[in-house]
Amino acid sequence: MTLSLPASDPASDPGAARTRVPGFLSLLWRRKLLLAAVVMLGMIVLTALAAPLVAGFDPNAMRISQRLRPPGLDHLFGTDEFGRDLFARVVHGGRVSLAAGGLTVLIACIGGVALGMLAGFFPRLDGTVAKVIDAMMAFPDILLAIALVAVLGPSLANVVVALGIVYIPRVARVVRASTLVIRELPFVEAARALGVPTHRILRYHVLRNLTSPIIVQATFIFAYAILAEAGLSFLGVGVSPATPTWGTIINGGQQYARQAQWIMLFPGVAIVLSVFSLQIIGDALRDALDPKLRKDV
Amino acid sequence: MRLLLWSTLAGVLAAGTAFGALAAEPVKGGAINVATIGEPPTLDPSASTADIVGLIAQHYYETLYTFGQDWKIVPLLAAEAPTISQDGTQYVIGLREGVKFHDGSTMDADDVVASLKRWMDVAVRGKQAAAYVTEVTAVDPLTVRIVLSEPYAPLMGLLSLATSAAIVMPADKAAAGTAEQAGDPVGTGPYRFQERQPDRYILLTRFEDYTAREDAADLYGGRRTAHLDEIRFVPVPNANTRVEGALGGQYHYADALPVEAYGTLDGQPGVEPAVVEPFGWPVMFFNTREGALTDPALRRAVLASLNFSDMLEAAFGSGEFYAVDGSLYPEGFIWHTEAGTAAHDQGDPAKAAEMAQAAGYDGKPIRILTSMQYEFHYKMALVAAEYMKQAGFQVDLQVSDWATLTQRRGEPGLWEIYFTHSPFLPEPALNSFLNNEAPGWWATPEKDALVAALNTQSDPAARAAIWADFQELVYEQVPIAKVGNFNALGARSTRLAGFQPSPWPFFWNTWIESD
Amino acid sequence: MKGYILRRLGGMAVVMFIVATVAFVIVRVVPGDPAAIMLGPDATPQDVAGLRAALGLDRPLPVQYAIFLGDLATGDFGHSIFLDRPVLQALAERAEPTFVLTLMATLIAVLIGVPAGIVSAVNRGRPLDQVTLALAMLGASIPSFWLGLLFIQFFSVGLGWFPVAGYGDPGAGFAERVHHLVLPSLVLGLISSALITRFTRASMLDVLGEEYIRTGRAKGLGEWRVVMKHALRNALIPVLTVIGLTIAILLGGAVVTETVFGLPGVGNLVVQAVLRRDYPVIQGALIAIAGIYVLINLAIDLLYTVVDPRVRY
Repeated sequence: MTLSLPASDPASDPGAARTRVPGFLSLLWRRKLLLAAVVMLGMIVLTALAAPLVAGFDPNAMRISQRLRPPGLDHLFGTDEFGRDLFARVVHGGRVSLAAGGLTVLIACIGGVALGMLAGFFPRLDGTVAKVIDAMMAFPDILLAIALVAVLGPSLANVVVALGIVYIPRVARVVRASTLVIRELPFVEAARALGVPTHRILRYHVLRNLTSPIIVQATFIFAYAILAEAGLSFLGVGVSPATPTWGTIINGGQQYARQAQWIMLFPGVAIVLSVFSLQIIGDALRDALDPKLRKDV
Repeated sequence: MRLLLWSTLAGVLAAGTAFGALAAEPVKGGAINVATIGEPPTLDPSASTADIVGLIAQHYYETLYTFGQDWKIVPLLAAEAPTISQDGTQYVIGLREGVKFHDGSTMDADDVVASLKRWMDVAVRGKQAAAYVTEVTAVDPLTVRIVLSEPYAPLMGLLSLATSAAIVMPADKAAAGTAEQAGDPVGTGPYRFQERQPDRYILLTRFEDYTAREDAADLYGGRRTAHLDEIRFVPVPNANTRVEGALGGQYHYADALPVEAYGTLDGQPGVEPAVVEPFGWPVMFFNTREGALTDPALRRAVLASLNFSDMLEAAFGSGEFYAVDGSLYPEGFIWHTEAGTAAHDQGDPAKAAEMAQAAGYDGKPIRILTSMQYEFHYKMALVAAEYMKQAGFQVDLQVSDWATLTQRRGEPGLWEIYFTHSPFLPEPALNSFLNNEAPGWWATPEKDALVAALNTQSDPAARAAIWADFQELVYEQVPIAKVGNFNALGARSTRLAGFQPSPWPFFWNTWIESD
Repeated sequence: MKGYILRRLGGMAVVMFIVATVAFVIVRVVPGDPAAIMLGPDATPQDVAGLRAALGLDRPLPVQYAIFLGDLATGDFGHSIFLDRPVLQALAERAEPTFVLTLMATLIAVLIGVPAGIVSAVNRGRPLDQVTLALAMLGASIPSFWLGLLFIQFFSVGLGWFPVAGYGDPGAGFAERVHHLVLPSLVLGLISSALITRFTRASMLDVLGEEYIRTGRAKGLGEWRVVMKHALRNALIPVLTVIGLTIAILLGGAVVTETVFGLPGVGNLVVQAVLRRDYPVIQGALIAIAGIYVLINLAIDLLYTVVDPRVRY
C-alpha cells in the first residue's frame, strides 16, 4: 500500500464503479433478459424525451365529441373521457412520470448522501443522525408520503419533494454503512494523517467510493418512485390530475374500467415495463458493481 | 284488530299510490347492505350539513315536518300543518300522541322544545333560524308554540330538512349538547342505532315499538314501515369498488355512483340503475370581496366565456344525466323561472375577451379551486379553465383535497372561483349564497333587499315572484354561476323492492323479495 | 446481552420521541381543518371557529405539543374527532384485518419466494434462474391497485368466488372475514414475493459456496440432500430478516390495497384520517405503526442472536 498518494488507488477500492463497468457490459451480452430490460427502458426514455415529436396530438386538447373512442387508426391508444388522445397522454405522461422519478432519486440521493456521510464519518454526529434516520424509516413510505403531500399540497413538485424525503433514509442508511467501512480504510487514514482537509477527504475519497452502492439504490428508488406516484394518484392524494402522469391517467380511467379499459391499460403497461426494466437493471448492477451489497435491500 | 285493519288499509293505500307498479307483498325480515361514499363525520344530523349524515340519520331521528312528493312539506312528528298567525310570527304546532322514543319514553312537547332549542344552539341552519325566534314554548303536552320577531318564511323548510336537521330527541338527551356528549342516538325513527364500526359499517335495527303515521306513504312523509330487520351502511369511498360491489351482488343499494357507470349497470342481471332526477346543481362561486374578480363586469365576462354544455358533457357524459338549465330551480319547482337566463351558457370567448378588456382586465391570474373528492367538479373546472384561457384570462387551476378547499375558500385572499354543488333545496332561502358571510361574500344592497323580502313574505306566489327578481340579480351581479342540473345515479339490487329514488335515499318501506 | 437490550430500548425511546415530534409537526402544518369537515359544506366561518375552540385547536402550538407529549407519556393517544372513541380503540378495531392480512400475505410471499429463490440459486446462470427471477420481479412491478381491480373483476364479479370488498357483515364469523382477505393477500403476497425470492437466492448462493457444502458434495451426498438439509437451514437465517421486514412494511403500508378492497385496516384509517384531518388519529396511528416497526426490528435482531450462534453483541 503506497501511502504517498493523496487520491485513492482505484484498484484497491472495494467496489469502485469504474473497475466494474466492463464487467457490466459483458454481463449485458451474457444475459438476454438484462439486454431486453436495457433496450425496453431505453425506448421508453427516448419516446418520453421525444414526446412532442411522436405524440401526434396535443395531450391536453379536448374534443368532447370524440370521447371514449377505442384504440384504432385515428387514435392509437383510443381517447379518454375528454376526447383527448391517449397515446399522446401516455407519452407525455411518461415524460412527467420519468422526470418525477428522476428528481425524486436526485433529492433522495443528495439528502441521503449528506446525512449518511455525516453520520458515517463523524462519530459524534452518528448517534443523533442515525436515530433520525431510524425514526424516518419507521414510518411506512406511502403513509409518510400521503401526510407530506397533504402538508405541501397536491402538485407534481410537491409529490416529488415528498417522495424524495421519504426515500432519503434508504440512501442515508446505505451510505452511512459504507462510509463507516471506508473511513477505516488505510488510504483514508493515510490522507487524514497527512493533514488533507476533511471536505477533500469526503469529496475525493469517500464519495467516490460510494458511487456503486448509490447507483444501485438509485435504480431501485427510481422504480419505487414510479410505483409510489401511481399509488398516490390512485388514492387521489397525489399529483394534480391536470398534469398527465401515468398515475393520474390510470386514476382518471378508473371509473371507465369496464367501458373503456384502454385508459387504464396503456399507462399501466408503461408502468409495469419501466419498473420491471429498472429492477432487472438494478439487480444486475448490484451483482456487477458490488457483490458485497447483494444482500442489502 | 283496529290496528290490523289500519295497517292493511295503509298498505293498500301505499300500494295504490307510491308503489303502484309493484305487485308483490312486502316481506318482513332480512338485512341489506347500503354502500355509501364514506364514513359520516358524525352521527348527529343537526351537527352537520353533509348529505351522508342526513342519509343515515333520517332512519333513527325524525323531524317535526318532512317532504312529500314534489317537495311539499308534510307533517312527520307534528300531527298536521301548523297554525300560523295572521302576521306570520306565531306558529302553533300540534304533536302526534303516543310517539315512542327508542329508550321507551313517550314524546311530549317538553322534548320537542328542548330539541328545538338544542337545534338552534348547535345546527348551522338552526342558528340561522335562531336570529328570528324569540320564544319556543310548550303550550300543553302535545302543543308547541314558536314565536318569531318578524315573519320568517324559510322556517318550515328548515324544520323539514334532513341535513343540519331539527331532530327530536328526549329532553334530557337534548340538554346534554352534542350527540357525542349524549352517547348513542335516541330518536323516534323506524330504525334504531345499534352499532358503529368505523369504516366497516353502521348497523341499524328495526325499532319494534315504532309509532308510524297512519296516512299513506308520500316520499319521506306518511306511513313508514320497517320491513327489514337490519340496515347496514357500509362506507366504500372508492367509487369503482361501489360499482363492482353492486355488480357482484354484495350491496343491495350503492349510493352516489359515477354516472358513467350507467352503461355498465344497465342490462346486467340482478342489478338496476336508480336515477334521482334531477338531483342538484354544480355551481361556481366567485370571490366578490377580494382578488381579480371583484368587478361584476369582469365576472360577467367570465360568465360569457363559459360553455356550460361542454362542461356538463365532460363531467357527466351521456346527456341523460344532465340538463343545460340556467334557472336556479328546474321545472317542477314553483321557483323555476327563466328570468335572466339569457346570460347562461353563452360559450363565447371572443365576446368575453372584449368584455374583459372593456372592464379593464389586467392579466391578473384567476385562481380556480376544485377538488378530486368530487370528480365532476374537477372535470368541469378543467373545461371552464380552457374556455377562460381562450377568452384571454390567465387561469391558475388549483386542485386540492376537499378538506384543503373548504379551508382555502374561507380566506378571501386565496381564490377567485371555486366549484361545489348542492342538491335542490326545497326552500330557496336555504341556499348558502344567500348568507352574506358564505365564502364569496356577496353582499349588495339589492341583494339584501330581495333576501329580506323573500324571508318575510309568506304568500308562495309572491315569494316566487321575488325569487325571479333575485335570479335576475344573480345573472347581473354574478356572485355564482349555475352550471346546470345533474342527476344522481345509484344501483339497486333487483331483490330490493319498494325503493324510491330520492336525494337522500331511505330504506323504510323497502323489503327483500324472496327468490 | 442484557446490556445490549437495554441500550437498544434506550435508543428506541429516542427514536420514538423523534417519531412523535415529526407526527405532531406534520399534523399541525397540514392545511384544512377538521371543524370545517365535520360541520359540512354549508357551515359559516363563525361556526367553524366555534368548533375549533371546542376541540382545543385554537390553543398555542407549544401548549398543544406539551399536552400531546404529556398524554403520550401516560399512554393516552388522544380521542378521535370523528370516530367518537379513543385513538387506541380505533386502532385496536383495525388491528385484526391488518394483522391477518399481513400474515396471510407474508405466508403467500414465503410460499412463493423461498422455493423460487432455491430453484433460482441451484440453477444459477441457467435459463430457469433467469425466468424465475424475471417472474418474481414482474410481480413486484405491477401497481397493487391495478392487480387488485383486475382480481376483483375476474374472481369476484366474474366468477363470484370472493366478495368484492369489505370485511364481512355484522356478526360475520372469522372464516367469512378471512374469505374477504383472500384476494387482497394474494395481491400483496405476489408483490412481496419478489423481495423474498431475491433474498433467498442470494443467501443460498452464499451458503452453497461455503466450505462445508463443498465437503458434503465431496462426500458424495446427493445434490438435493445437500441443498435441502445443509444449505437451506443456514440460508434461511438471513431470510428471516426479510420476512420480518415484509411484515413490518405490510403492517402499515398496505394502504392502497386496503382502499381497493374497502378493508377497514390501519392504513385505511390513516388515509381517511388525513383526508378528514382527524389530527389525533393521524398522530396516534403514525406513532403506533412506527412503534411496531421499531419493535419488530428489535425482535428480528434478537432472534438473530438466538438462531445464529455466530452473532454476539
